[in-house]
Amino acid sequence: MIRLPAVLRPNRVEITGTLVLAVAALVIGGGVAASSVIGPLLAGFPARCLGAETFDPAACEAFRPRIETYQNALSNVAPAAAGMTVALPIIGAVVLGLALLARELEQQTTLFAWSLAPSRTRWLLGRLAPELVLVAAICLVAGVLTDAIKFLGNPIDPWRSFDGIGMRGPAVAGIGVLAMGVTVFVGSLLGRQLPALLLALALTLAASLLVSAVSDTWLDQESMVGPTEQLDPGARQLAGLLQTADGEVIGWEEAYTRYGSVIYEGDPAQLGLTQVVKFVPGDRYPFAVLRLTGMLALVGLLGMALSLLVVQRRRPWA
Amino acid sequence: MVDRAAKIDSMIRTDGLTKRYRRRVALREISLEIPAGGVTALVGPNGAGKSTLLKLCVGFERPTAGRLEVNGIDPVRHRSRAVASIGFVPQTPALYRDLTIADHVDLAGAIRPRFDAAHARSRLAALGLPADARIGTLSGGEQAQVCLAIALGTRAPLLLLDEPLANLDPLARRDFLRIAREAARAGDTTIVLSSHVISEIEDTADRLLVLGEGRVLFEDTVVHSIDGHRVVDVETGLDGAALVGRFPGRGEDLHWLVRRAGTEVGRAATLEEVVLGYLAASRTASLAGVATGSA
Repeated sequence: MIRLPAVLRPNRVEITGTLVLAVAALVIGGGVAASSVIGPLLAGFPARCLGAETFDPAACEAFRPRIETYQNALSNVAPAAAGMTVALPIIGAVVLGLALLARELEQQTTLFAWSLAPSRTRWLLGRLAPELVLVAAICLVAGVLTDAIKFLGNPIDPWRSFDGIGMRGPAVAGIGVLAMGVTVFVGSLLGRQLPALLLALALTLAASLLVSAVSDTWLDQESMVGPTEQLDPGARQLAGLLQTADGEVIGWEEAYTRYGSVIYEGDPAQLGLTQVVKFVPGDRYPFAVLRLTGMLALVGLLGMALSLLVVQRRRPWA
Repeated sequence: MVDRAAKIDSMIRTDGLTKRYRRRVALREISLEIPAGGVTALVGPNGAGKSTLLKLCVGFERPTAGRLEVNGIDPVRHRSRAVASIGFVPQTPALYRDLTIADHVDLAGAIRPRFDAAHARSRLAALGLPADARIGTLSGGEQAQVCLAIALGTRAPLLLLDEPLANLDPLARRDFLRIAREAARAGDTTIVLSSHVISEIEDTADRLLVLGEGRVLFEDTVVHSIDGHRVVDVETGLDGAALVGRFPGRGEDLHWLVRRAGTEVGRAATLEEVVLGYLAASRTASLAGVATGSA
C-alpha cells in the first residue's frame, strides 16, 4: 500500500476517492475509445475506415452499412460516456477543493495545523500544489479520452475541429483547475462544507460560462468571412451572412431592411447577393483551445491565490 | 513602554490590550506580564477572556487595541515568528479523527520546523498510547494527551494550554497536569494553563492570574496568593481586615476573603478560595456598577 506524505494524509480519503473517480473515468472513457479498435472487429469492417488519417472513401464505401450500424450504436453511448469521463474528474477536483479548507475549518483541525505551522501559506501550498497537479493530470487524461470519444467513427482530426470545444481536450484540465480553485476559495471564506459545495458548484458553472463567453468574443474577432465552400469540416461557423456586389458584407436583418421580404422568399443571388459565412477555420483550434484552457486555469489559480490571502487573515474555525 | 531587559524576562506582555467582538468586550485594556518559566494558571469563569487572550497570543485573533508581545514578538506583525515560539493545546482536541497518532506526529514534523518527533513519541509511549491507534477510537483524555505530547514536541519556549482539562475525567486531568508539570520543571518551557477547575491546578501552577469580565482581577505567585489571604467564616470575625470579597461556601454558608496584613484573622485560604474571593468581588462591583448605571 502506498503511504502518502504526512501533509497529504488528512486528505487521504478524498485523494483515494478522486483516484477511484479517475479510474472510473478511465474505464468508461477508455472503454468507449477502445471501441474504435474492437468495434470494427465486431462489426466486420476495417478499423482504418474510422481513422482521420487512414480513411479511404473508396475502400470504405463497401462497408458503409456496417459502419453506419456501428456509428449509430456509438452515438447512443458516446455522449454519455464523454460526459461521465469529463464529470468524474471534475467532481474529484471539487471534493479535493472542499477537503483542503472547508472541511478543515468546519472540523477545526486548522487549530491543530495553524498552531504548529509558522506559515499558513506554506501549510496550504504544501497540500494544494500536489493535489492541483493530480487534478490537472487526471483531467488532462480525461480530456484526451473525450477527444477520442468525440471523434470516434468520424474522420476528423480532433485538433483541427471546434466541435465540442471546452468540453474535451485540454480544456477539461482547465475546468478541473477552475473547479478546484473556486472550491478552495469559497471554502476558505465560508468554512462549511455543504454551503461551500453548493456555492462552489454555482460559481464554477458561472465562471466557466463567463470564460467561454470571453473566448467566443475573442474567436469572433479572429473570424473570417468567406464562401460556404471555404468552410473546412472542423471550422466554427459563427454566422451566415450576405455579400453585396460591391463586396460589402451584411447580415440578414440588414438585407431585409434594404431589400424587404424578398430576401427570404427568393434566391439572394437574384439580388446580386452572395451567401457567405463568418467562421474560424479548424486549424485555429489548437490556439483557441489552449487559450481557453489558460483562461479557465487562470481563474482557478486566482481562486487559490485569494484563498491564500484569506487564510492569512481568518480565524481557524467556521 | 518597557525596557529591553524586562522584555526578555516576560514571556507574555500586554499593554492596554483590548479585544471586542461586535458589542461584547472580551478583554478590557488589560496590562499584564507573565514571566518566563514555570506554570501560570489563568483562571476565571466562562467568558472571562482566558481563551481570547491565548488565541491572541497564537495569532488566531487580532487585538482591537493595545499591545501584545509573546516571547518579545508581536503576534500580529510577526505571526510566523510568534507561532514558532508557541506550542498550543486547544480546549477541544482538534485532531484528524481518521488519522493515527503516528500520522499526527509525522504531520507535526512536516509542518513545524525543528519538531522533536522523538520527544513527542516518547511522551506518548510513556502514556501507553499505541502509535497506530486512530484518533477517533481514543477517549477525550487520550486525545488531549496526544495534543499535549505534540505541543511538547515543538520544544517551544511557551506552551499555551487553553482549558485542556474541561472535558477530561479526574484521572485524565491528573495525568495531563503531571506531564505539564514535569515539562515545566524539566527545562526552559513556560506554561500558561487556562482553567476554571481551580482545585486541580493548585499543585501544578507556580503563578496565578485571575481574569474576570475581561479584566485582570489578581495576579501573584501561588504561594503568595495563599499566604497573602485569609478566609473568615463569620462576618463578625472580620475585625477590620481588608476585605476582598464575599463568596458562597459549599453549603449555605458564606465566607469572606481578606488580605493578610499583619493581624491574623480567620483561617488559611486555599487557592480556590482566593480565586472565588476575587471573582465574587468583581461580580459585586459589576452589579453595583449596573445598579448605579455606571457599568
